[in-house]
Amino acid sequence: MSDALRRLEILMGDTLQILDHMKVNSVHNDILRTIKHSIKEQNNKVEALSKHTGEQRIQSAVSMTKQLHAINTKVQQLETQLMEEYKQATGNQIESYEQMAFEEQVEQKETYHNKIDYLSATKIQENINRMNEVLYSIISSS
Amino acid sequence: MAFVITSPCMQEKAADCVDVCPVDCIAKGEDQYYIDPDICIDCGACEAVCPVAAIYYEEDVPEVEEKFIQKAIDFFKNN
Ligand code: SF4
Ligand code: SF4
Repeated sequence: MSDALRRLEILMGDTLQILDHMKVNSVHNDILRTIKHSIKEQNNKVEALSKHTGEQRIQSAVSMTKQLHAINTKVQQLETQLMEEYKQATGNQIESYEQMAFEEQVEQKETYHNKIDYLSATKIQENINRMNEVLYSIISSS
Repeated sequence: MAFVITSPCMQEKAADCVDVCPVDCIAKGEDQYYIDPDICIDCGACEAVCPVAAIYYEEDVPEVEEKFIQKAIDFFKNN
């Protein structure tokens, strides 16, 4: 397997690790499950992509980027909702909350979870963008 | 971006950071602990608890400690 595909697998595995640690409110369980399932699906396609060559490889990579964009739209929706919950939990005072000492932040358990879930969603978007960059490099070098 | 563990950790290694990381992305290496930059969500919890101030946000790593950014990348590439 090429370095690029190995990198793709690592990014997908790391993203799944972040998803597994999220403790979102139950209203977000469905979207979280869908995102997780979709990333796993893409992860399963990496092995097949490694066996493709030429035009078939380009088509597979393009199809993966499309699906990753669709997943990222869902992650963005989730991030917006999580940001709103975090904002509300701090009484619209995110900055003041984040200036508090770590121990004080943790004491406000719910708010702290809101913060971690929001940051997790942000990181997942970052990682999906990186996955797409890897795929673009595969497309342009095929 | 991510947080990075630098040289003071090599003498200390008490792992307070590991206990507070909400995404389990800090791993023990032979000579120090390492933060996986692909998983770190930039929450800053580890920085707050490190007793020897070994942890920095990537952009704030002092020049003399900058090699630890690449060291962490290499660690996770090879482990
Ligand atoms: S808390 Fe600081 S010194 Fe202890 S293992 Fe973590 S980085 Fe190293
Ligand atoms: S900043 Fe947060 S997520 Fe990153 S290593 Fe430290 S505790 Fe873990």
